[in-house]
Amino acid sequence: MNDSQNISSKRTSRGSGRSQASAFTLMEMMVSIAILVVIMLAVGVIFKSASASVGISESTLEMTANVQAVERQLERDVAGMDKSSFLVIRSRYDAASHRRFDQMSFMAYGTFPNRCGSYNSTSNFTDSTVATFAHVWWGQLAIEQQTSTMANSITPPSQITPLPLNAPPSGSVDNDFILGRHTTLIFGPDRKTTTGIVDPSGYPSSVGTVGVAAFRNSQVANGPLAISYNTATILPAGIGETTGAHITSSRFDCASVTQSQIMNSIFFNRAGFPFYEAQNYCYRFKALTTPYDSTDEPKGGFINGFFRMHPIALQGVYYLSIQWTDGTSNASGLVWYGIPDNSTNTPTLSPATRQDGTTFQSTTLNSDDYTAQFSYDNRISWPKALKIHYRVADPNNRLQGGRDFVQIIFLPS
Amino acid sequence: MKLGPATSTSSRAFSLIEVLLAMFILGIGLIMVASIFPVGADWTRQTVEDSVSQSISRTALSVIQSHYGPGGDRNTDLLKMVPPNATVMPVNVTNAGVLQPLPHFSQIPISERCYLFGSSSPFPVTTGPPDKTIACTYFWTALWRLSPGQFDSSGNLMSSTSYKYDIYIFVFHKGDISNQFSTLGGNTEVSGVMIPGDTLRNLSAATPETFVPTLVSHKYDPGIYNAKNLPSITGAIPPIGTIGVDTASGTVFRQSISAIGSAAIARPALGDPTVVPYTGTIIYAPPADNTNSGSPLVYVYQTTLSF
Repeated sequence: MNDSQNISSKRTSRGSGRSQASAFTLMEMMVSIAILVVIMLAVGVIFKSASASVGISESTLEMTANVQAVERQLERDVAGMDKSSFLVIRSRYDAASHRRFDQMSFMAYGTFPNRCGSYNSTSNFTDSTVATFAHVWWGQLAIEQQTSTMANSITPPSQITPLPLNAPPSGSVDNDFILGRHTTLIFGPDRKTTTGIVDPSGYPSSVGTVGVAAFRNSQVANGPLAISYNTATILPAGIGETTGAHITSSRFDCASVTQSQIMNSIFFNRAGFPFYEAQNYCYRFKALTTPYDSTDEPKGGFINGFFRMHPIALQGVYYLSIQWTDGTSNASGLVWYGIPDNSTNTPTLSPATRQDGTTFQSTTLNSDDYTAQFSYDNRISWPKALKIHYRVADPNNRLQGGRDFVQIIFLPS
Repeated sequence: MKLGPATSTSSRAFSLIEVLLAMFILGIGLIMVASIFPVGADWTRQTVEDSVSQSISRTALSVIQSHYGPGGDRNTDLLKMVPPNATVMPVNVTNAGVLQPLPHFSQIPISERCYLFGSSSPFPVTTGPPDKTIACTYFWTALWRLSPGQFDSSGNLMSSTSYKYDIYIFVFHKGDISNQFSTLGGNTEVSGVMIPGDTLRNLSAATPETFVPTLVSHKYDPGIYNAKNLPSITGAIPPIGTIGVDTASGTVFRQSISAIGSAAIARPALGDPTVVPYTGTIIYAPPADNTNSGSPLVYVYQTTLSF
């Protein structure tokens, strides 16, 4: 028997008596593969759908958790708001980008710890330093110019030649915008001794009375002009840091003044400047000045100590609106004053007079689209509640257009 | 020419039946694995609901404070309910300790009782002409009572310059704006929570949504357990997995299945219903079809205010 006969014999044997040993036909293979493909496709669709759903939920959850952390911090700050001081709300709507950059500032009681460490090993301003009163600012930070190649940087302002007061931060993508919280810890004048928290040795006698303190000689070499950028007076690098610049232009301050000293200064200055609080105490770049020195005489313009830190509350907030209500209602609910959400930059609801009959100081200030200022002498006109509207970008871009959150905060009576 | 050994079992190919059987088993396995995903997704959805509801609850609380707090347009309404307007102290307060709607709650416009999460203007939602209908995905209502501990041994309210109020904010959620909230299902409504004239807007329907979610009060019922049934527990009130509030203690709980199979209040326990069946009255939101599953009530926020 030759080879061809052997093969024929084996095929016959397998085909008739040993069917379990037969190989697949082409049709069997195609049917099997087709069924397998159908199963895999079905499972793949389920996996893809489930993954997308879980991804969206995770992004929503992460974003909501971040916003809630901000909401809780803001609630704590507002709960401690001191109506013997002031509240400033400033609005700016960028019609070109449909982004909104409001900010507000007030003074509050509470627990305000130092979060930026000490200046040096001998400083009394340590991590455990806590103030019970602070000047609080909320608004959009700006990315500080760090290098010539750094994207989305802005030309930084100086203390005396600033950008328009409420100029929007620059940025090309939504996730570049940063919601920030800037606190200036308020300590009494007794803390500006050599053993106190605010080190008086930092302030050169050529500028003013020794004793009005700042932290670093280099920062105050030019007195109030010291907060400038890309100059010799730029914030020097700290221990372990390689650059004097940091990613935001906000500062963490402490001041050796009392709340009453600040308010006395406002009281004397506001006669000639109706928006004195708004111009001097609600500002993205400006450090809190010390209006009085140890002799309690007005000196004006002396900055207090300032420190570096990253006051980032939440990244990706490219729309922040702040409106307020005096508790009155109409058919649609509480009446909200300020620039309405998602509208043009026209403040449609601004009461002409306060509840006490005096003129309400609500108008535009420099580049503001809306400015509301409440002070210690018109407590009856203060808002009953604030409405904060956040629009947050999703860095993973799973939530197209971001998500909006609205928070109503009731002010203490 | 010699081929491989024809008798070797290792060289035997699978038959079509074998392959189909294997793929069937594989398919069953994959389906079982895939069935885990919806469960995980549902847990994630619940977490998102809880998280969003917390934010909505705090906003709702501020709305209540703005209306009923000092200087608010409804401030006197709340003060009318209890001293210091009372002339003789102590006084017996009607329905003391009972959860009840805020007085004139209907005066809070529906636009402030809704939240449209996912839109560019979540709150207050925009009213739509001509019937002030509203589009929303979340809806809240609130109950209050005088906090325990302000009454003497005779049950009379003790004199004080201010009083503490327990506030319960109930948050309802529907999966999509095109869905409708549940009906009452023939249950007894908690008076005053559902406000006549309230209508929501279903964007995909020509007519407004008929029902606004509301609350009912009912005796707690652990349901009937039968291992052969699916689901194994039927008739539980509130349904398994849903939230309720015990009117006596004010406890917020979620109905679950106990280790022995019967329905049990999960957290915190109001007593072991397997030993002594709990018979108290609870407040909950019934499912849309009044069946044993689901409820639009997704979150209860409890806090105390002092006016």
